[in-house]
Amino acid sequence: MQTFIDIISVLSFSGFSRFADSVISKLAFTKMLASFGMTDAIAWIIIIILSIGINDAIICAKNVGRSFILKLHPKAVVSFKYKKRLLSNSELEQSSINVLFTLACELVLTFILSFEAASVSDALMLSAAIIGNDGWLLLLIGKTNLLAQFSYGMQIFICIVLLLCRVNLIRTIKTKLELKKNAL
Amino acid sequence: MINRKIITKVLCVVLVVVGIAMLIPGIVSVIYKESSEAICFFACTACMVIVGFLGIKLIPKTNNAVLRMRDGFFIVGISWILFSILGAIPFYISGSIPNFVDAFFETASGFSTTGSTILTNIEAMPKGMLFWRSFTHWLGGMGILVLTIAILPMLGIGGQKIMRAETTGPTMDKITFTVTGSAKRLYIIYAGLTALEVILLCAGGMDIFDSLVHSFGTLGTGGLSIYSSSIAYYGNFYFEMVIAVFMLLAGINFSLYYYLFTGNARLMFKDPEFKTYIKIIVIATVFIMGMLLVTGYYQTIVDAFRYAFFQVCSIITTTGYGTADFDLWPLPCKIVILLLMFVGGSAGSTAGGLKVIRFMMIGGIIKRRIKQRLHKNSIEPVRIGGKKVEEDVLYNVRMLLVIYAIIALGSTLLVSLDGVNLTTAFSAVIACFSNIGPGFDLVGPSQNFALFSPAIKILLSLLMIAGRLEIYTIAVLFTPQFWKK
Repeated sequence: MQTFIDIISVLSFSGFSRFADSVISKLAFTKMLASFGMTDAIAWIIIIILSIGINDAIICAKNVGRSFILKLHPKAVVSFKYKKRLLSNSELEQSSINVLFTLACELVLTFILSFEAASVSDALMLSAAIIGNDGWLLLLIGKTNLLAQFSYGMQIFICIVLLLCRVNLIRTIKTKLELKKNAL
Repeated sequence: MINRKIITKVLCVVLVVVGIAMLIPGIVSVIYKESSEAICFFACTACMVIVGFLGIKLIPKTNNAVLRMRDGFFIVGISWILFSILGAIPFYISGSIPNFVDAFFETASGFSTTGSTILTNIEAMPKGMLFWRSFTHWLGGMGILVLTIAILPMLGIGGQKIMRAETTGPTMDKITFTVTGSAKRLYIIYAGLTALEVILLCAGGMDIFDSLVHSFGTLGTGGLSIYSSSIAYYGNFYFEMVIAVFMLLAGINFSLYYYLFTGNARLMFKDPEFKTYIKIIVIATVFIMGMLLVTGYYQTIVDAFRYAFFQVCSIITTTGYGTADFDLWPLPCKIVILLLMFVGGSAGSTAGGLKVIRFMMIGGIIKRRIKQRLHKNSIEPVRIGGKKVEEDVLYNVRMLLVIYAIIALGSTLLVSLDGVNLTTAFSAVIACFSNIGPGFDLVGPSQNFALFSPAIKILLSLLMIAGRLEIYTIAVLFTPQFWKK
């Protein structure tokens, strides 16, 4: 089972493997973070931001500013740039839906994990790490071998979710490669 | 810039209203022969009423004055912070809560109908103070400014923007043509339901004082009890069921009661939000009941139902009364309770949280997006109960949820700096922001919020007020755009 998790973890770049476990826990950087007081809360918030995606998080933050302006001046026309181009309404809508959808998925996964997780915080952190494929961040705060607390059935379920969450990245890489091919 | 004349005038009226409200706990103190507390309340009343009236008299009449959106936000935001400061004065000067930050936290928790407490020995508090603590729930539940609009139409200013900023939900229901008329009817329904609960509790043998304070907490969906063990103190099935049912009723849109009492019962039972709200309660109760029975936490189905139903009603309506320590329940039950904390009651009710209707709208948005992925050119409106929801309402709902998430995560980070674990920090933030009361772990149902530093208590107090006013009203005051000319 552990080997299966290792393979899936490596395939999905999520850092739940024994290999990541042994490497990251030995890093000087990990020890430095611990000495700086890297708490569960800080790690959890970083994991959530990463699971949302930096781009969506930034666009959403800009959209929040826009919503405040619209609250004060309902008829105002507010637009803003990101990466040197104007964002369309559809892109703005898409980013906020992405954020809400990711958070909703994390809450649902937290509920599923709660059937076997040890505590509320474990369930919260693991669900965010699974959705974002960021298990390596949990290793940075010393939470090693977290998947071991689950039954085989739950471990297989987690592996499937890890792969599903990575599909988007694989699709993006594929598209970029195709674009490059076409350009050549 | 903001309209200073109108704002000052409204704030003076607020001062008078809070001052007059303090007369009632003052009378309670006299009845229970608590002379020093009675003097505190009457002195506060005198000062606030005199200053308020002077202000009203000195400021020239503002007939036909236009109240803009910005003024509405400012009035409501500042008034709620002012209520909490003014309401804390009797606690502080009587020495019942010797620290002003603690007194402010307790009052903010009262007015915002949160129900989180810093008190470690509640039973030792004087009766007058306990009454005031619960009465703040009742005042804050429907909205103290709505009350002001209802009883003081002579203010001479449009109350629409104030009512809009204070009532809950993505859209405002007006049950009559005028704001004053709507506010009056809502308060009549609110007072009627409170009176009914008091009668039912008294009929079951509860003391009149206890029934009054618990009814205030129930209908206001507050949850501050006069006992450390909350409703569990009585261990009485009848009381628990009466309170649970009234909590459930308080979580329903009050406009629907108007339709019910005016012979349009069909409108109430056809309301999509009402139906979803009841479905959520049934599903959550059955799930928790099942888990409690399967894990052997309770042996009988009656016990499992009794505690599960009460806690589900208490959490979804964001009341926060307790009959059992849900922090000791199996983890899936705790996660269901955590999810209910986000959901909250119906729009237009006294409950906090994000409201059922918003989640229905978000569900509609996500469904539409998925459809658009499959059929790129499809244009389909989001419909709730067959009615099309306007795009700007959907935008506001989306953004409110995003802002909620940002503030909740940021605040969790700040609270965790106080040295508490993630579960405590996150649940404390959600418990305050959604106006629930108890959280998990160190702020669980059998614990309190006394452990936090003064700075964190102020942060949590602001979160309670922001949560009660559904974020924008308070958050907009902290944006540079608000203060720009």
